[in-house]
Amino acid sequence: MLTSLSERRVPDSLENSGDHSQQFNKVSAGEHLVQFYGDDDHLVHSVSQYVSGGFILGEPAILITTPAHRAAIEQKLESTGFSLEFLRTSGQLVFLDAATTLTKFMRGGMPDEACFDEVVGALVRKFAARGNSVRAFGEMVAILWADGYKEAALELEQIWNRLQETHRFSLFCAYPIHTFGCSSQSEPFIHVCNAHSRVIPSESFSPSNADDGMRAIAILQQKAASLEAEIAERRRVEEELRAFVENASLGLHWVGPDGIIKWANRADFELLGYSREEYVGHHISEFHADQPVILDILGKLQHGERLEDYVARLKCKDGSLRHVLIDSCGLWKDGKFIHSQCFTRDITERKHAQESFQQLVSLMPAGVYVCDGEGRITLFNRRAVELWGYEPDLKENTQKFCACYKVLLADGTFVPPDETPMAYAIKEGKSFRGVEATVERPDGSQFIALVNIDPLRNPDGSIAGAINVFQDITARKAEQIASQRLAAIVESSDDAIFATDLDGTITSWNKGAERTYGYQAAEMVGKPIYNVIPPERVHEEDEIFERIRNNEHVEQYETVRRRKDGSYFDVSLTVSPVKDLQGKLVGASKIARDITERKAAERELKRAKDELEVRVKERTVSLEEAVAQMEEFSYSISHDLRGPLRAMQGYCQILLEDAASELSEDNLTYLKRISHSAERLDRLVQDVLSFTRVSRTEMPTEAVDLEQLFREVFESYFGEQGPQPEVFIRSPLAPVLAHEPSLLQCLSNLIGNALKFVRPGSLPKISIWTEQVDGYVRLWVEDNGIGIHPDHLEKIFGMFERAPEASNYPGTGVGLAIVKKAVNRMKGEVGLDSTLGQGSRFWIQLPSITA
Amino acid sequence: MIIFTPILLVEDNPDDVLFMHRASKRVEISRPIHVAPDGQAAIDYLSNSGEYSDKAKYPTPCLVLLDLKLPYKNGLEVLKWIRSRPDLKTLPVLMFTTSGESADVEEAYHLGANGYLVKPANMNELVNLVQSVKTFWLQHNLLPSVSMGRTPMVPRVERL
Repeated sequence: MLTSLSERRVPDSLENSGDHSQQFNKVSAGEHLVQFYGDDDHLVHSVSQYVSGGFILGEPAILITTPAHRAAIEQKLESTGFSLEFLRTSGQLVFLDAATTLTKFMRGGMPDEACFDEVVGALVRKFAARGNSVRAFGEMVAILWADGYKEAALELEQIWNRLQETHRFSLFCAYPIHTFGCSSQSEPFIHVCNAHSRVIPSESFSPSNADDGMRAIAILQQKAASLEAEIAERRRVEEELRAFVENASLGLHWVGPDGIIKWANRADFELLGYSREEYVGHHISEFHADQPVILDILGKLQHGERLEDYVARLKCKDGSLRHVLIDSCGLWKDGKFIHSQCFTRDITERKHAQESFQQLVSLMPAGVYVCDGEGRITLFNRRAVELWGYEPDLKENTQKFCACYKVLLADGTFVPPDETPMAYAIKEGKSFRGVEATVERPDGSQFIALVNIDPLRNPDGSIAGAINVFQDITARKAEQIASQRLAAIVESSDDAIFATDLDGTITSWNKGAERTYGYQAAEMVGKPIYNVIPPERVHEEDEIFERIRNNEHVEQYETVRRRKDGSYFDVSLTVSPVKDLQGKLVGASKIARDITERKAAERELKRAKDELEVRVKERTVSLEEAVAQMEEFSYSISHDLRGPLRAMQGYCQILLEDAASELSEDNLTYLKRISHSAERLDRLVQDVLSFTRVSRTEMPTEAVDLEQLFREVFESYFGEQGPQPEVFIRSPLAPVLAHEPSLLQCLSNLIGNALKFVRPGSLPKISIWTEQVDGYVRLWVEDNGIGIHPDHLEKIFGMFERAPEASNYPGTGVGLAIVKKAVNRMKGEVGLDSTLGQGSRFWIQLPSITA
Repeated sequence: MIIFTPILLVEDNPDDVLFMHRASKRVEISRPIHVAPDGQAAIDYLSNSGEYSDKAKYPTPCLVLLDLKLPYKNGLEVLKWIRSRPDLKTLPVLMFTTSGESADVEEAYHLGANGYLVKPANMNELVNLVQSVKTFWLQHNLLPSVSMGRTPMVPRVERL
């Protein structure tokens, strides 16, 4: 670059190259010329001069060139009148391709002298053999030099020199002057010059005479000095630029065609947390999170595309990712891709902010949508779709201002979209707060929306649109109504309902509380609860609160409270903890019921009960005494009452036996009647004793085998004289729970009746069976006796009750009373079916042993 | 002449005594019937004390008919006393009473009564009953030595 600059600065007077063709006429064998050139035309001109000078002297030429130079030289020679055809066929001119020739003797990056000799040396020897000197032009050294094989280039120069020692030829080398276009090339330049016997400067400095030469040198000296100063200045500027670029906040790097990072500034590698060494020299794709992306970038750049705001994700050393925007283009030189120049802008924060914002909008529990100035919906979130009940198609733009399927007023009136608050916000720039409307979805369901709207304005203040944030407050509304209803219930309750905070300060006080305590709400709210508590009961409140703090409910706590007028009354308190939404205890709610009347009633009841108990106790004592006397009495009867009866009977009998002959028939009859009456009275006394015995004897029950019991009964009866009855027992008889001696008496009485109450002349027939009735065993005793009239069935088990039908039969009317009493005392029942004149069926029902 | 050991009738009711004598005569009981009109008299008789100290005149009876309800000492107390006396331990005692109370029956047997008879309501039945007593106790049944006016033998079971 500097070279071309300096060339441009060469004064026009010096630019004239002049005709210096003569200098190539006197080239003798062994000379090694070097030509520095600025442009190809000059080189072509020099080489043509060089070889054509030789042709005149009969010296053949060997040209080892690039194809481009060969073509230009051939054209030049032809244009100056040489026939290439002739030159070639007469063996005066031979062209070799420089690159191809190089490959023939380059070994391991260095020229091999022996191989060179075989290829080039042999050709020179062949031409020189004709006797004349040979002119050779070679560009191989220049190619090696340009490709950076400087050592190899210098070595090749030396090989050429050594060949000249043994062969007669002159050699012409050419280097593009720009190859040495920087200060670091000064020393190699001198080396190159030293390797040659004649140095021909670049075409700009080819003075035609000595004066011009001196002038040129002076000018060159001045130019060198100014150049050095400029170079220093440029170095300083470059340092500044380098520091500027190096410290730029924008990341910059160059990537070579192979994808390797050639250079990067601090911002670039520090963005990713790497050091320069960890970054520069590495493949750029190592730092990209998405391989297809970097491949795309590299591909585009190498096809000459320019990247602007290309989005990519880079990998940091700590594994995190950064979002970046890349601007890049390739640097090309001579149609060759040198490297890409890449600017990297970190947009991670912006990206995060954007994502957060999007998330914020989409996560908002409210529906959000935005309209532009025309009322077209441009943006909405998920919640809005949920609330609308469908997803509007932004492209269709059919409905403006409002995407709701239907908006209704509280009274059900339909509101067209262009009359909604959103429409007014856009048309008139109004804000709306807390507007309530009913929204109907396409499926017919509805919700109550709470809407907030703000217009959006352009920088010039004109309306750009509006943003609408709306919530479904249906549930909240319902809760509100429910809580209003609850509040109404509390307010209208007859019970005193009030609340206190944790310090016992009253926070609410309903009408019931006003009535019960006599204090108005205004007097109590904000006051301590202790006003209504008798001083001696203040500790109760602390106890209640202690329980409330332990999360207990206090129910039906009965105590005494004080009214405003100072009177005390009985009260039943129900106290519950009141918690806030976080579940933290904030106070207590209390329901107080005036139980004065109930308490009075309770006290009266207790007094009556106590009194009753005393009375019962007294009565029990007197009853017990009565029972004891009764027992004493019946015991006496059994001994004392029966004695005289037996005496009466005994003496009657004695009289009948001893004095029968002395008494009249009537007297004998009277005596018999006295005896009979005594006997009957004695039986009556015995029956009454039996009855009292079954009434008071302890009756422990046990399993009783009825069949066994009947055997005992019948044995006692069958021992007697008289006609034998017909007995049928339907075995098996179920066992029962009973007091055996008492049951024996019952069965004996029943069988006795069955045997007794038979029609005169007929034989008793008795059937016995049992059946299960609800956990009981019902024992049936059926006879063929005289039966009982239905009117008398109920009375038959009464004490001293005898059916009129039985009047002709002996008996006291106590037997069945004993049966009923005994069975009842064994937790059983008795009963009968009977048809007058057709016998009776008595039953005894006793607990089954399995029950 | 064989001297029969008597029957001791402990009975306070003179009617019953009369009926008993009459029934005994009817069934031809030839043994003398001594009457003790109360409990204490019965004890005195059996221990030959007081007016009954003459053992020859008031020998140990072969059988005691003992009423329950008696003046001074009732029948059960007398029975208890009898069974507490080693020399009277085996003496046959039949309760003869108007009470059919099972509690009385149980207690009497518990104290060592040999039988429990309820006084019948009429004369014929009393005769039948006395006949039964005569047949069983005085004819079929073998009486212990004490009932035969002898010193009671110590039974083998007690010697063991």
